[in-house]
Amino acid sequence: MKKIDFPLLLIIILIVVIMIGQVSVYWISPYTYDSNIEIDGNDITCNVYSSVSNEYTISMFDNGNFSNIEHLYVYFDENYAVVNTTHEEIEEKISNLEQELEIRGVTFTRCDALLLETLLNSTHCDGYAVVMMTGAFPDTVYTGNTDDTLFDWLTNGGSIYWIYDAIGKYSAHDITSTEPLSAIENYDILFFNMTGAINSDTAFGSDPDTERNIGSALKIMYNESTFGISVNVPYSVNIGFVENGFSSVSLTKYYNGTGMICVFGGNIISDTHKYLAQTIVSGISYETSNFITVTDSFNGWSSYTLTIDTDYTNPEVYVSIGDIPVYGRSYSV
Amino acid sequence: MLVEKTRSILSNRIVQICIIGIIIRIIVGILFTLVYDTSHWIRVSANIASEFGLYGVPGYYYPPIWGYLLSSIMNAGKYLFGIETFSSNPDSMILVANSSGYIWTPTFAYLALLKGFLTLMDIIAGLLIYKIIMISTNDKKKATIGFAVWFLCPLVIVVSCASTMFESVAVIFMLLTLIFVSKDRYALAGIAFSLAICTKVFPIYIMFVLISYIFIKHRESLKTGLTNLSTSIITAFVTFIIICMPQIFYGSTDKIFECITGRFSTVDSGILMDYSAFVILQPMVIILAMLMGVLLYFYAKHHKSEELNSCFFMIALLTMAVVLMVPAGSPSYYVFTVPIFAYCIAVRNLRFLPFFLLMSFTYIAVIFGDPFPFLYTFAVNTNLLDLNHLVELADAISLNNTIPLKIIGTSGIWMFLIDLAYHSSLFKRRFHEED
Repeated sequence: MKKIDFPLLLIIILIVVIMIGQVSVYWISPYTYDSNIEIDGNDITCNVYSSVSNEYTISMFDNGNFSNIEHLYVYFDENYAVVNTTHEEIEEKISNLEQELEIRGVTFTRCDALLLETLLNSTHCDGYAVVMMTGAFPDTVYTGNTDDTLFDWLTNGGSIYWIYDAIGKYSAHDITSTEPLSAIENYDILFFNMTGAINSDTAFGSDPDTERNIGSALKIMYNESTFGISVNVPYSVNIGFVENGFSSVSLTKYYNGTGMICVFGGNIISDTHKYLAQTIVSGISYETSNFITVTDSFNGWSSYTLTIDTDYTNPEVYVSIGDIPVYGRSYSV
Repeated sequence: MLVEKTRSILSNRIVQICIIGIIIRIIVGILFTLVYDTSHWIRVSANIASEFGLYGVPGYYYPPIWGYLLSSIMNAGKYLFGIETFSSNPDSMILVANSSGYIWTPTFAYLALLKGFLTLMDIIAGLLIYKIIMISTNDKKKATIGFAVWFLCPLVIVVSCASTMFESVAVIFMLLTLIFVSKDRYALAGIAFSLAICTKVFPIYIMFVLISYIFIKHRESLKTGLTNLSTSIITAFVTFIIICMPQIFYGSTDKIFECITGRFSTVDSGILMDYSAFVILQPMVIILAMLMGVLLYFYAKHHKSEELNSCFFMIALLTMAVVLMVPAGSPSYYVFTVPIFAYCIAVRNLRFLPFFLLMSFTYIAVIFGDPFPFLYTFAVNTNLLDLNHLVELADAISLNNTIPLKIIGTSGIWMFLIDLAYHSSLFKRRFHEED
């Protein structure tokens, strides 16, 4: 009997295992996901699919009078100053966010300072949102005055998702100007009508916030509450973790209108784009209430039927797959 | 019949050592997990399942092979074993979130999958050490000792089953390279060498010894030596291209060796102090690795040609100990020194054992310098320990400065090298005989 050539056999097996891995990662993904909903009276049947063993989470909630976000913009202008970071780094973070939104079936439009000004001066407010990751609004929409375009837009129902430094602390100018960033005073009053509304100390939330059940269901494990919003700001849904009275993730109604300000505390770290995408696409807002969720294991197609309570005025369903979400879809019912 | 066969299998020393090693690994693996690194593997798996590739989003910073293996491990877990979730994410774990974010806590099912794979890699690496010793000595007893030293090595066990690091995979490819070269299979050697470097970069240091060996072996014909070397270089290059094809295709080749280039960029800012030392000393380390190639030439000159393979294995493996003489870098790197200890203890003398144990246990002490985070996963998955209490203990008790321990650990390598040099035939010939 011929003796087995162990090293040769071994390297062949290892190469096969490695190449299967490479093909799975880059060329032919074995991972596919899908979902849809069927409505029958007050019953909503959610059908979820995964090609492999997985876990789904179906959440249903009432969004009250909030107009669900249908148009998403991300601000980025390489000619305008950014705070404590570089344009390259922000480009990379935006690219990461783009990928996370893509797996949740959402695309966005990039807008520079001029396009942002045009958008905020238009009647496009309800159902429109802008993601800010640069640490400063451009001076085309925000100069630290109450009559700035930004505040009119928020008054009329526009939404802001903010991550990086303190919201409103700076106004950004053209990078060629002598002073590319202007510090704004009383920015907490401008945005929240409350002194001390924004945390200025480094902090990491350790206690679950009031609406942590929402954050937990959406797998938002984020506790940076530096620059976070005070839990005392009225009309807020706080889904993260709290430290010294400041929340890590807040969705707050603009005090002088119907717009929403969603603030993630801290700066952008490795998984922030995942949590931000999950928050945006799930459709949760400061009006979110009656939040119910169900989680189960499955392989292939699986269904779960939820019954809409008569109290719901604006029901939303969000389906996500994976212990770290790898798929998400939002359905307005 | 079946009983007899089972008895016969169980009477095999290698099987017995495997059983002991696996039992130790199960205990260590259940109790201890370095949750920070394992959290990264979970994040990378999620990125793969999201079709982001390895380097498309943050999370993966090593050459691609371990990422591909993580993908295959995930495929096996999802398709063969039906594992639904790789992580359980209780809010209580937010207490251990750090500056790089939340720590995804592995489930026992995922840990069994990952650590099972790494244990298999440990066994395979051990069998290759066995093979190398057999080629050198044709003595099964010595080869079995070599296997035992590797597979029961505390550092190897902890790195694979507590830290969940993949050094064993790179060791396998490095040993395969040596075996193929010794058997004149230069094409396969090139493939194995390339795979080793695309797993962890360390085996690149044996390159000089490999080149030296090829030319010494074919000293009668420079042309043959050059042909064989060219064959290895071509297959190594082709393998590299195939392995890194996606990164070339998607324009992310700069990320392949980010684990090295990233550390270069942290030198100036003073972060990772001891990593900085490791990086700064690289020119010296490379010179030492080159000198090992020269050493092989002198060794071969003073030994019979049939002893060439033994000299080659010895010096090639010794190179890893020489380049890791600096008390810096990650403790898991020192797994690369274990094959030379195993070889020398088995082939030469048991007197090397204390040096080996000193190195091994000291580096385990470095790994467990912050012991309590190793218990987080056990606490979350079993509720037998209070996570809050562990976090408090971790804040209160941790080894901030591991440099003294690393110096003690590397002193084991230094003493081993000095002892080896003092008793080497080259040294004796040069000095003792002259006396």
